[in-house]
This record gives sequence, structure tokens and C-alpha cells, in this order.
Amino acid sequence: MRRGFGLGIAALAVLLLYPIFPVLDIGVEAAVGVPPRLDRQLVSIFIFAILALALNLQVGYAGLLQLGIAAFFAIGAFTTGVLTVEKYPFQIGFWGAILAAPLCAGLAGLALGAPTIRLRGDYLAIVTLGFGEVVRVVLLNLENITDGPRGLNPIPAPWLPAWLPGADAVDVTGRRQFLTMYYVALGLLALLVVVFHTLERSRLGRSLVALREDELVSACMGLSPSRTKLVAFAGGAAIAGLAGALYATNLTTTAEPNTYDFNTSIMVLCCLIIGGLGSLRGALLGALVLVGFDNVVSPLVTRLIQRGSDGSGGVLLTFSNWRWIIFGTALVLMMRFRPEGLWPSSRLKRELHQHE
Amino acid sequence: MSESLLEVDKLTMRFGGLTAVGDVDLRVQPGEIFAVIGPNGAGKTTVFNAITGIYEPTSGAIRLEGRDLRAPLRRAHFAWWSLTGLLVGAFLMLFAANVDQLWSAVVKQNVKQNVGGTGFDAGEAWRDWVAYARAEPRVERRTGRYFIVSLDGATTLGVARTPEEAEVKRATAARAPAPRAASARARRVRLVVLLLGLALGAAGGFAVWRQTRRTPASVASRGIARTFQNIRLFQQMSVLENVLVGLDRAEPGRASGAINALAPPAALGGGIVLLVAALRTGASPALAGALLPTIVAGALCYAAWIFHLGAFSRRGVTRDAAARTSALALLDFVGLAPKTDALSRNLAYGDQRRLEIARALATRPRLLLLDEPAAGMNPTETVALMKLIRDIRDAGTTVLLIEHHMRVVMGISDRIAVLEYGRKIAEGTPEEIRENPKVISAYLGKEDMG
Repeated sequence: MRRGFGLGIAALAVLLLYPIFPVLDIGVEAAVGVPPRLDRQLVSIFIFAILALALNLQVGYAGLLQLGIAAFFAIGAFTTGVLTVEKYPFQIGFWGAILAAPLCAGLAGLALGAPTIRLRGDYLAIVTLGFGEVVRVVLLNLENITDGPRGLNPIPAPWLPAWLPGADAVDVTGRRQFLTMYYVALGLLALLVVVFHTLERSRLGRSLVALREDELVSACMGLSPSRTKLVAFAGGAAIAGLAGALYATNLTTTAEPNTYDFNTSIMVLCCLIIGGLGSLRGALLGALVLVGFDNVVSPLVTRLIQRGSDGSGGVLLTFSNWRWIIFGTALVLMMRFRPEGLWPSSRLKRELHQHE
Repeated sequence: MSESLLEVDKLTMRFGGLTAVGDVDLRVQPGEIFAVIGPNGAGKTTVFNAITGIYEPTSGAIRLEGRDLRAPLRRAHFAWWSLTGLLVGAFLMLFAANVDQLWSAVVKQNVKQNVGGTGFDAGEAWRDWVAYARAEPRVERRTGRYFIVSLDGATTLGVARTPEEAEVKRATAARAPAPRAASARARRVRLVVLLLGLALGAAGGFAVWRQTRRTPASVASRGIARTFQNIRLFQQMSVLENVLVGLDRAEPGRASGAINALAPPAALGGGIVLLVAALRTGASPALAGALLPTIVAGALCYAAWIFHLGAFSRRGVTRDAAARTSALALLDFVGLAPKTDALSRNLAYGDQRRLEIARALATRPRLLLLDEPAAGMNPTETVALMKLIRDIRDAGTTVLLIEHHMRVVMGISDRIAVLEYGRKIAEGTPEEIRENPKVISAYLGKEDMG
């Protein structure tokens, strides 16, 4: 645990300094000749890491198979959109939105959780999958509110107090917006890591694990399974909504509702499986590996490949077109050789290797 | 006869056509060790499951200290059902009223027309909302003129130059026969939908209440704990953690209870205050400063949620330390103190049984149900177990146990009930049971006299 603490502090320090000293960017640019813009991609990695933590609460800790996390992500993003864009009268700004978005998403989580409280395993998976699709289609069709496929934009940049250096200047390069989002996302991620770290050792954390291991026995200990499930559902949904608020503000648009489709849910689930279900560090690692691969490695490899070619054979030479094949293969290999994930929690490792 | 701790009255459990338990009466006195015995399949575990709320009895009553284990009907329940009904009704009404159109009429129309002008006109939005809610024609302002439009906004019913003129024309239009019929129809549809939702929600609330009047969790918190015939530990948890799970419900800190109760409404309230404040001020980016206090209030409410996890507060930490101390005391009591940090599934069989008992005791029960605690134990372990059960009784917990091991049953029980084919055939002290011919024939079979 002490080692983990040291590692966490070191990672936080590196990430805090990274936008100022983007060493990797400089190194990669020197070697390949293309700047990977890793610092900008880190913001999406942080956001997906928050999303992965949200899903980890539901799938990892409580054992509720949730396949519709993108719905809550979308609800967070569109709440932020409606409450901040100039065309609507609310305009509560980013700081209000990061409070309101988790609230709305959490309420949606409660509304979905309450009637499905007795479902388990595959049945819950089907319901949540359906919910994810319903939310996406509803957002597409409420055209007067969400602007349908166009999405709500522009979402204004976060308001900063005047005493911050450069807060009043016009943000031509987008550098200020980037730095704000970078540090806000990093700060929230760090806060959530601390919260989940303590959660694992708290009574709520224990009742979640008890629920996952044996629902009936946990009930006979006086821990109401429905309450625990609702907490997991609402909490996970609220955190996903927070990620949605960050995502929309970072993009300055809610993007079209189809961005929040089933693929997104599965992608987040993949982060967990690759990193290790029920493992805090695993979820972070999974988001880093998967989103990093998607947003940093694959464009870079594409550039490298295409630099050597004459530009023919375009589709096959675009490396990012291979991503689903690579994800799928990686998942199959993980399931075969390392089902507990790359960096599992000690508890789940035991669960999966009981018979050895 | 003193007041019984547990009263089971004419308990009947039917599964389809099979009567697993029929008309069983049990009276367990405080401070005794009461055993239920009987051949395999006699329905002993079924009785346990019915008592602990895992099964809902087909008929019969179960009372602890004279009070029914089922939660009584309170006036608050009616409030909850109505609230659920209202929520479902309101939600369905959003469909019937077409939320997309509603938004367009109330929010969008009143912003669009004012771009570069006076901003959002809250008063006009309110009037549009009322008109929409009444399903009447409403006024829309476009390019400086006032249009009276139908409910769906598709038909223009009139044009006016001033707001006063528009209001007069609107009132006239609303009284015209065709729009009146249309709005009456729309209102009827909405009312039906609201009532439908109300009925649906209230019925759902009632059904849920009926099914959850007695749940394993509620029975456990009333003071009945149990162990299982096939040991069911939390296998991946350490010995200590298993006991801590048991303690979690039984010893909630007072502070944590208050935060539990206050944090969710506080967070909800904070969020609502925030939204209302934002609506009222019709904030522009310049007004973000004015919103700051509400935002801070909302943030504090979320902080209360996080605080609710308990791990950050000093009270939470001391409470955890206290729980740890009680857990260690319990483990010491059952003789597992040296194995606190072992993984529970790595324990020896007899130790697993003891751990299950410790975990059940951690819920601070008044009545402890043990389902075949001596099954699979060797003679030494059995003797130790008998002592443990006596110690539990002497510490003030009444024990009700199922057991096949006759030495255990006869050695420790104050009274014994015998079940056969789901019926109680005898009850009494060990001596009486030993001599009872019915019991002997149930166990050994009757000699066929031809």
C-alpha cells in the first residue's frame, strides 16, 4: 500500500508538470518528425479514466454487469450543453455544470436502478444495453432541445477568476482552455482515486464486495442489497455524468448523440477488463492503454506507415482502421492468458485463480 | 410462562403442491438453547429460511418479542406511494404533452426572438408555460410582432402589434369553438395519462412494499442472525473482514447515521437550489460571480456525499478502529484470534464454521440460528463447538439450532422440537424426546405389525 502511495504521488507530480515540460512530445518529434500532441490527448485519457472508474464501481466492485454506461456519459454531456450554451437562458457555466451534470445523471441512474433492482447478470446487461440505446435515440429525436445530430455548441470555456494570470486575455491558441481542462480533469481524477481508495476500505466498500460475493448472505448480515445496488448505480451514473460534462466542455460541443453509442460503453468495459475488473489501478491503466492506443499510438503509426508509402492503398494503410481487430484480439488473448487483467486487485486475482 | 423471544404460529410453507412445512408452532424462550431435529427432508431448513425472511410463508405468523417480523403499514407509506405515482404520472405526461414541443414553446421561442435584445424573458416564458399547460393558444413574438399560435405552433390564429392586444386576441382565440375543443381534448388525454401513471406508480409502490415487508436484511436488523448448512463465507475476504461485514449494520456510528440521512436530500436540495437560482437570474457569463455562492453550496453538498463514505472524517476513522476492536474481540471469543488476517477460504473446515458463527454474532443478534453447526466436524471440534454454543447462550444470545448430531443435541439443548414430513411430532426436554415413541419410530421406522 505504501508503494502504491509513492507511485501515485510520483505519477501525479509528473502529470502536473507535463504540460509545462512535454518531454515525450519533444522526444517523439525528434525521433519521428511528427508531434504526437500527447498533452492534449492526456485530457481525454483522464476523462475516460474517470468514466472507467464510474463503471468499475458498478461492474468491478458491485458485480452489476452494466452495458450502457455511455448513456450516463451522454446525459452528463447534454445536461452541460443545455445548461451552458448561449442559445438557452440558463448559462450556469462550466462550474455549475460539473455539479448539475452528475446530479442529473445520478437521478437517471436511480430511475434505471430502482425498477431493475432484482435483475442480475445477463438480464441486467440486456436492460442497461437497451437503456443506452434508448437514451441515444431519444437525444437524437428531441431535436428542439438537443439539436439532434448537430449537437449543442459552442459550450463556453470555464470561467476563471480574474487574478489568474492570463484569465482576461483572448484565448487565440486554445492554450488556456487546454490548460484549464487538463488541470480540472486531472484534479477530479486524483480526487476520485482518493475517494475510491478509501471506499475500498470503508464499510460501503465492504458491503459492495459482500454483495458481489454472495447477495443472500450479505442480506442476512442486515446489509440491504437493494440499497447497496442503488448506491452503486446512482454513484456510478453520477461519476459518468461528471465525465460527460468534462468531455463536452473539452470538445466545446456535446457532439452528436451517436458519439455515445454502444461502442463507447464496450470500450469503457474493455478498459476495465484489460486493466483488471474491480481494481482501481487497473482501471487507470486500462484507460491509459486503450485510449492512449486509440488517440496517440494509432495516429502516429498511421503517419509512419503512410510516410513510407506513395499514398496508394489508403484504407488498409490507415492504422486506426484496424483498431477493432486489435482490440478484439487483445481481449481474446487477455481472457485466455490473463483473465484478471494487467494490474488486478489482489482480491480478484484470487477469485479467478481459485482452483490453481 | 414468560414471554417468548420467538413465536412461530401455524407456519405453513407450500411450494406448488408440496407442503414442505405444515402448521408448525415453535416457542423459543429467551436464554435457552432450542434444537430442531428430524430426518432429512423434514423441513427444518425451510423453517429457518421462513424465519429469516428468505422465504415468504404461505401462511402463519412469526413474531420476535411479541412483534410481527413484517414491517407494519405506516402512514408514510401512503405518502411514498403517492409520490411514486405522481413521478410516474408526471413522466408519462411529458410524453403526452410532447416535451420537445413544450421546450420549443417555452424556452426556445423566448430566447430566439431576443438575441441581441433583452435576453430571456422569464415572464413571457411563464405565460407560454401556463398556456401550454392548459393546452390553449399562446403568443409568440417574432420580428417585433405578436403571433397567436395554436397548441402545436403550426397554425397562426392571429397577429397583434402590442403585447396587450396580443393577450386580448389570445383570449378571444382560446374561446373560439375549434381551439377550445382541441385544447379540451388535449387536456383530457393528459389527465388520463396522469391518472394512469398515478395508478401505475402507486400500484408498483404498493407491490414493492408488500414484497419487501420482510426481507433477510430487515429480519437481520431486527436481531436474528443465522449460519448456513453449507458454509457460505465471503471467501475472498480475510477472516477479519468477514466479521467486519457483520458489524457494519449493527454498529453504525451516530454521526454516520445522521450523515446517511442528511446527505442525499442535501445534495438533491443543493442541486435544485442551484438550478432554480440559475433560472431566476437568467445568468449571462457576467453573472457567473453571482452564481458562485450557490455553486459553492452545491459543491458542499457533494462533499457531504463523499464524506458520507466515512473514511475522511475523524469520527469515521475512530468508528473503524472501534469496529476493528469489536471484531477482534469476537474472533477471540470463537477462538480464531491467531488467524485474523488469513483468507477465509484457507481456513480449516471447523474454523470456517466458527468464523461463520462469529460473523453472525457480529450483527449483535438476540436470536442466533445455527443450521447444522456440527456437520463434518471431528469429535474434538464437536466438543469445542458445544462449549462455544453454551458460551454464546451464557453471553445472552438465545440459540435455535438444527442438528443431526445426537450427542450435540442431547448434550446442550434445553428443549427440542422434532419435525417429520413438515409437521411437528414432538417437543420437550432431551429426556422426554429420548423416550418419545413417535420420535423413535420416525428415526428408526416402525415395526410392521402386518
